[in-house]
Amino acid sequence: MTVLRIVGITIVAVIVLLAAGARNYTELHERLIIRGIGIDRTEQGYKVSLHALKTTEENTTELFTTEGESVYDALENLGLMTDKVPLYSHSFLVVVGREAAEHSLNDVLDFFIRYQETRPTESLFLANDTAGELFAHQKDGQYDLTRDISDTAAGRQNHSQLVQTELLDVVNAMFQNSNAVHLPVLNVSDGSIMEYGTGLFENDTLIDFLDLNQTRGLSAALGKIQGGTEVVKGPDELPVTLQYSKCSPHIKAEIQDGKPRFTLTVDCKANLSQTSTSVTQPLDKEAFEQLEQALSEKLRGQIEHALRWAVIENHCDVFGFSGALLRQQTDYWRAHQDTWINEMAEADYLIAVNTTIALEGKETSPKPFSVW
Amino acid sequence: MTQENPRLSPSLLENLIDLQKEFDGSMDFVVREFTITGTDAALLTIDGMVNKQVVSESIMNPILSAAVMDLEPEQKMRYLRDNILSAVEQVQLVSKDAVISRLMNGFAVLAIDQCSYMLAFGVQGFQHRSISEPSSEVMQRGSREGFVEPMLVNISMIRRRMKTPKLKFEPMVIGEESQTNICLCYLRDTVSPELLRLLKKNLASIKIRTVLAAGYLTPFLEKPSIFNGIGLSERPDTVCGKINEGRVAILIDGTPNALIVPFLFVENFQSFDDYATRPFYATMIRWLKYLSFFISIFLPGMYVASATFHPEFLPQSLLQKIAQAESQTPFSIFMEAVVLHILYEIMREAGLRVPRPLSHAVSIVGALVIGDAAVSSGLVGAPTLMVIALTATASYVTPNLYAPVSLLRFLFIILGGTVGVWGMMLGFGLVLINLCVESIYKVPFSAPVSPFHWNSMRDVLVRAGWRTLAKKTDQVQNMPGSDLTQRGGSDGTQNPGS
Amino acid sequence: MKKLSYISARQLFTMLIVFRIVIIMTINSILMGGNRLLDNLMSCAIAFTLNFVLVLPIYFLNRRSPRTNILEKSYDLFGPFGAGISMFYALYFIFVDCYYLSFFHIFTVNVLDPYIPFWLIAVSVMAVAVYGAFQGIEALARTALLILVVILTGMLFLFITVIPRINLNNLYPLWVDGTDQMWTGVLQVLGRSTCFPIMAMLLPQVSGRKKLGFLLWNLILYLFMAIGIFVLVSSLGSYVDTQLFPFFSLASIAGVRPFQRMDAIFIGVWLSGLFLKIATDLYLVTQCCIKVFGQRSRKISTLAGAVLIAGGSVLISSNRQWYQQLFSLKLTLPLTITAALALPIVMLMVDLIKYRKGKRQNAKQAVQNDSA
Repeated sequence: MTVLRIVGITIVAVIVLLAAGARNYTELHERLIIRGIGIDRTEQGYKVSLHALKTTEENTTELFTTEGESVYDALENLGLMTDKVPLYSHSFLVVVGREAAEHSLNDVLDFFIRYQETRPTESLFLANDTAGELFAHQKDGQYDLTRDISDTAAGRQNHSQLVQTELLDVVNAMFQNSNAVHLPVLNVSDGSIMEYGTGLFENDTLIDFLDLNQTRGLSAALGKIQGGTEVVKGPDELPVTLQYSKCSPHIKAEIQDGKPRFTLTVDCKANLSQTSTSVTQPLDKEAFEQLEQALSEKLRGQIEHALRWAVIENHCDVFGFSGALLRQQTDYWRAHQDTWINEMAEADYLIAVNTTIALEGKETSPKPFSVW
Repeated sequence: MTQENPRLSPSLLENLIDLQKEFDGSMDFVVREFTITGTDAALLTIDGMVNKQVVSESIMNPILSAAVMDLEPEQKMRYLRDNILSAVEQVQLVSKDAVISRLMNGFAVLAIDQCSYMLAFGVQGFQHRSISEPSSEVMQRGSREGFVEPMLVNISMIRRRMKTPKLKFEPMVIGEESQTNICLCYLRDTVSPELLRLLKKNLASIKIRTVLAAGYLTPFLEKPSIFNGIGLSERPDTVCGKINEGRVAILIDGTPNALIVPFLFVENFQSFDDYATRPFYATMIRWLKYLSFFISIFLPGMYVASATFHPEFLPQSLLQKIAQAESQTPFSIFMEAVVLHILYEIMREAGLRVPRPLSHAVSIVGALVIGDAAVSSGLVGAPTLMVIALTATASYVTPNLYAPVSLLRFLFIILGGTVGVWGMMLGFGLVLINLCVESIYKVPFSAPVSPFHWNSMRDVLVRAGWRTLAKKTDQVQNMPGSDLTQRGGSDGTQNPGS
Repeated sequence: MKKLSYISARQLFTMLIVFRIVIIMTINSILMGGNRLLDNLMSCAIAFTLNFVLVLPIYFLNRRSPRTNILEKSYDLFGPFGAGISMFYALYFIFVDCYYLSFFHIFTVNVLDPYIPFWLIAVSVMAVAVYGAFQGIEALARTALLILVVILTGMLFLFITVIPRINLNNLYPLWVDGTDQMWTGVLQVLGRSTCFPIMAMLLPQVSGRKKLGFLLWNLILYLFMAIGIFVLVSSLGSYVDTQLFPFFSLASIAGVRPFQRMDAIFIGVWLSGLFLKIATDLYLVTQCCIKVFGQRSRKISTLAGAVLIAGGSVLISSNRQWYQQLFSLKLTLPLTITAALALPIVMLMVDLIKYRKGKRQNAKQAVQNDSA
């Protein structure tokens, strides 16, 4: 019986070894580790640009370009071209070219939602021109866009003029049925990849842009601002540099006279980075209020411009007012959800920004407190 | 007096001829013939087993210088036994087997013509290794004494630590040819009678010619399994601790180890040092052992599975390093892991067996060949080597588990390299079931983790302080799921040797 | 007579928690009836409250005959026709395992890269399950605790690492689109309540505080499901409606610093619970067959059950129409209600009637004896 058992187990083990992945696996060096994917529209379909890690050298990226009738078709051709199996799980960046976005974002995104290896945490960007241009751009002999994992989006986000967007955010925005989709825009300018603004979408088609100031306003209103500086006029009209730390937005939705009224309150925390006043003449503690007021005004203006351009002019609810209606005025939302896209321009919007300067560094200017 | 068969003949000559035939002229069987007031007598010894000085001083000199009256042989023997001979241990023997047994155990046997019995004297004087620190169970804070080969010395070491009359040593003899003495050691008021009964029944049913090591007995005492249900220890303090929990220790003459029955899985992670250090540190070390155990089993398999089938599990920087390393080697990661694992086992075994003068050379060859040359020549990748090295180091944190861990590690490398994480999870399930199904002498092997016993977690999940531990001793028969009786005490069986 | 293996109430309900968690992890918007997964918070509250009613027939049966399981009871009440009930339960458990394994097949084929054929996975899972079934209920019960620790540790780690991604703006009021989804969810949870037939078979072998165990089992499962749904919706938002296995998608986005891409946790947790569930069900199938065919059929019935489960799930999974039927409530709900509620109620009623008849007959006999 023991002999039978051992023979049985051996047979099973051999079957497992032979029938399973012993013959059907891919070595790591046979995989193409993709870091970023760029998608452009062509006449025949799509052109895909990819950055993939070179496994034979450290921190070196290769650029590949393929074409196909669909995004996946183009990516499959990559496998034939390179004789390697693409690995998408480590891709952290997707850039959609302008033409592709103007055609249809759904066509581009379905692969990333459906394919088993892709992640919903991939950052999505829009190229002002073509994604291929961004992918081909080099700096110091290396491809700039995906050069450093920690650099790209997170680094640019510190300038607060880029609204970081993941695939997850885009899909969620699509489900809101209120033209809420928006993507940060990148551009090659003066030999560098720079932020350009934010792309606005009608359903899944690109229609317009927010400029950099408006983007900052949007970023603050969405609570996505982290870092970035603003120069405001301080006491004696001298410039003072403040750095954004954090913005916490809150939308209150009410129905007044049969139409919605939104109060967008943004609580902003900023740090005092630099003043232009004399070192020997520190600012008084009243200067805090003045600076906070100045920053609040500036930010409120940016939010207002963004709101006017996106919501009122372009009927793009990128601020999430529809979500606030759904949560706070559910009955109204039920009745008006199909017509909200047209009605959003008629609603009333109030914007309030409250700024607090949290840190001032180690200098006593302004004085944080006084003896009496 | 003890009744054994076959009985001795009253004739000294017949007995001597009989014994000479048994030993067939073996050079170490020494017979010293003399007379006691006209009556023939002989002193029988095994050369090398007795202390000749003690034999002279406590047996021969007193007899030869005694004024023994001309009595009947039996009366003479009685007179010598009660008044002349100064040996402390004296045993009456009535059978040839008993005589041979005592001679083999270093006794000197006095025979007088026309006396129906012989007297054996405990004058052992064979050479043995002195007590030293055990090599395989090194503790920082415990004693430096370890068991040695003579069972009596080991018994004395345990007795010195447990000065209670409830500590009982019950001898048995195992081995048809070797007639090895073993001794069951337990606390009468703590041990489960059922455990004792089962153990003695198993021991009595052992049919083996020779017993030369503890490992000869363990297969007879437990069912075949990946993990040991019978513990092994070289330390008397550890054995005392186990006995205190209702376990039975088995000392084997000629082996510096004690078997501990039953031995549960969690005990592999408990060491004497845990109880001698502060509880916070001991708890941290305990968790380190658990972590090391998992690392030593699963890390190579997970590494191979991740690199081969599931690269999405690896962080990008690590993935790149591994891919770079792998691109420069001729073998797959699976083959590298298998080959390195085998190489490591070869080196480990060589390190154990190599004569000491050559051990340095072997170390250098191992370190250079495996560690440096293999990587720089591009035969294996550095990441794989690191993984195997870390695994090997981790496996020594729980040396008791080295054998099963080594096998399981190999199994999981194969599963991970052929079937991926699926296979590993199924293998894990298989091992878990195997762990949970085992019972050692009616005590679940996975107790007190499963079946779960909250109070026992004070010495499993953590090592509680002695104020807590001292309140109540967890006895093995009280483990959840145990079918042993709870009442402690001997079953009253007489010692067959007494 | 073979000695009965006893397990504690703690062990039984630990096993049942593991079994339930395995199936909870397969929820998606299709199964739960719509795109408002948050409504299913109420579904599970209602369903788990209904459990206290559903369990009553089994509870009373057990109270009336504490050492008799439902199979033995069926023979006591219906004589040889009890064999029909035994075979029904055997086939029910086989059906349930086909259901579980087919789900697993869908997962491997659609969500993971199927580098090994599914039949091999099925055979491997069944091999381990058969081994477990052969070892008996005590071994399985002991294993359950260890597996529960693995599962809970994995899920806790997952939930903790996903906390930074929780966005309360993804939440919405309950019943926005009506209560249909809530009721569908209730039926789905009930239809998957395969633990009641297991209780019906195992309760006579259980010692300890069963009522407390049942209460805690219900509570823990409700909490697990509620927290799971909350985390899914709040971190994934509407993206959860696009995913076949939202918990797997959650694992893929969870991450803190070096701990990224926790897919392995999901796979490990699911697989470890799955084989235990199938092993236990196989053991119960064996008990059913032993009741009908005798002790000699133990090994053959286990193997036959395993072959049926593996073969059934492979066949069903290869045909879309078949597995659409398998996962439909029209099949699972009636079968589970029959096994969990209908049969125990019928047996309870018959038992009560027979008891009263017996009492009347005894009373008559006593009167006759007195008069004699």
